[in-house]
Amino acid sequence: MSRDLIRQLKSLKQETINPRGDWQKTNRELLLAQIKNTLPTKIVETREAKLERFWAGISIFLPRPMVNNFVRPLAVLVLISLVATGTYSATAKASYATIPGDWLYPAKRAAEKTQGAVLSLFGDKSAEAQFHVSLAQRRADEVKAIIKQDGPNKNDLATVTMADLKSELDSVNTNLDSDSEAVQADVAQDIKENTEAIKATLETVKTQLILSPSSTSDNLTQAVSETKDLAKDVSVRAVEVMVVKHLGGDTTVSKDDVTEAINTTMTNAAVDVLLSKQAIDGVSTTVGTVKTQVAGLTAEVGQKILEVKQAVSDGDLTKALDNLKQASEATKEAEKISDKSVANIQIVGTASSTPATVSSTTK
Amino acid sequence: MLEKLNDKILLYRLQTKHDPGAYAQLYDTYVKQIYRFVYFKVSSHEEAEDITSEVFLKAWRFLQEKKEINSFSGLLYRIARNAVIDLYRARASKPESPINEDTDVGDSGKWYADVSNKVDTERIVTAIKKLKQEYQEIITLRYVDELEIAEIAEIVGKNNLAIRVTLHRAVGKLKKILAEKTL
Repeated sequence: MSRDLIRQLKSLKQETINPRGDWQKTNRELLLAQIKNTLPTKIVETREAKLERFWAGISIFLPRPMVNNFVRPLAVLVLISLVATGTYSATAKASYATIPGDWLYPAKRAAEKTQGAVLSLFGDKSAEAQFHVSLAQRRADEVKAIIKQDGPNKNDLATVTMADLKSELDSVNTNLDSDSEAVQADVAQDIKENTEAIKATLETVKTQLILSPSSTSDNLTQAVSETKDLAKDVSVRAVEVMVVKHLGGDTTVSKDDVTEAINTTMTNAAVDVLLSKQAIDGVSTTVGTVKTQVAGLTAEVGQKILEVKQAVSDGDLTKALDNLKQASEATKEAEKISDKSVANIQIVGTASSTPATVSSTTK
Repeated sequence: MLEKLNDKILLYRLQTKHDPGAYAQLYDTYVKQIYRFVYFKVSSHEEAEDITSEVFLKAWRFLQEKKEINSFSGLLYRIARNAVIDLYRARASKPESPINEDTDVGDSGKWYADVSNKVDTERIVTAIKKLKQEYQEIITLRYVDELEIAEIAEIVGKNNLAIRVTLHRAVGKLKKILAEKTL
């Protein structure tokens, strides 16, 4: 009954109950004429009107309350976030190549601090160590760039940056010492390679400082040497972590990688000690005792190289590591003696003093 | 759903580009429905045409005021409903032409003379005329114009549940009237 009734009700929508065709057409024309008269002759579209038009377009597909109460506020939030992030990224990117003294340098440091804070939140010690070593590399590059520049306070800027570099290396060392369990062997390998690069950069800085001495460069040269020693320590410590981790079953590095790391570090130590020896040999005024000391240390390093090679060929990585540590210490000692002697010769040369003064300062 | 989307696109063209062609399309879509809706409530074709014409003009003015609308058909029905109420009030104020039950729906049976060959239709129209205004309105909107419950609720200003209840009662009453006529 109901179905029939509904069908019959629907049938009422037939032609007989529709408006007359001619009226429909006439009324349409009349209506269009009337509405055309009410339309503005010239439409000036403001920015707000364009925006409203956009939202009206969105409302075709979504309910108007949803657009007004949810989509619009969300879009505004997303836009603000994008602008903020974009501005921050652009500033950070633009500041990436800056060095201390540049006006955007604080932005670079702020970005680094934010990055560091985020990393510390995650508690990934390997990532933290890698981050600190990359910052140390940046500081070393900055010191190198500062030294190349001409400026009244370049040594002050370099000294401050060197302190920051030292601080970063200390952080890496802390990560390797206290959190070595959390640091993987491949990360230690990465740290070792980066610290070797830092060492090379600092060597260049040191040579530059020695070649163009100034009244304030002595302390800086000393700071560079100390930081270079610290970089050596970090490098050796990284190799030690690699060895320990590898022997403990860490498969992120192979035995060949560990052996290569030991050999590279040993070769670098040998190169360092030879450079120290050459520096001493090149100074004619250096007293014989200094030359003997450096020659002795060079021989010691040479001996350690042989022992390391033997230990490596025997597969005794622990023994090779011990010898590597001793060789590194000898290298540091030889370099200290060499630096001190060369610096004294320069002071004497600058002051046009007698060789007797030189010999007295090098004792 | 597609009809609603099409309505929205036309309204967008109308509100943002002031395109009279869009309004013409909306007119073509709804003129018959609005005419029928009005025709059931008034006494002649002429009155239905006048009110239908007025409805579309008022709807245009409403759109010109940039007022927010959820459904264009809902807007048309609301305007049509109010226009019919205004007509009843105007008639009520003239004692010489009172509105009685026989004349408040359709044109006093003139129109269905055209469909005299359809006996069932005649019966139903007569029965609808005997229903009270509220029932007539909801039955024609739901089954003749085939609007959704939500649309009817929006037009008459009630919630969906009230519409369903009223519709159920209206159909029941219509069945009862038809059954009585059969006896």
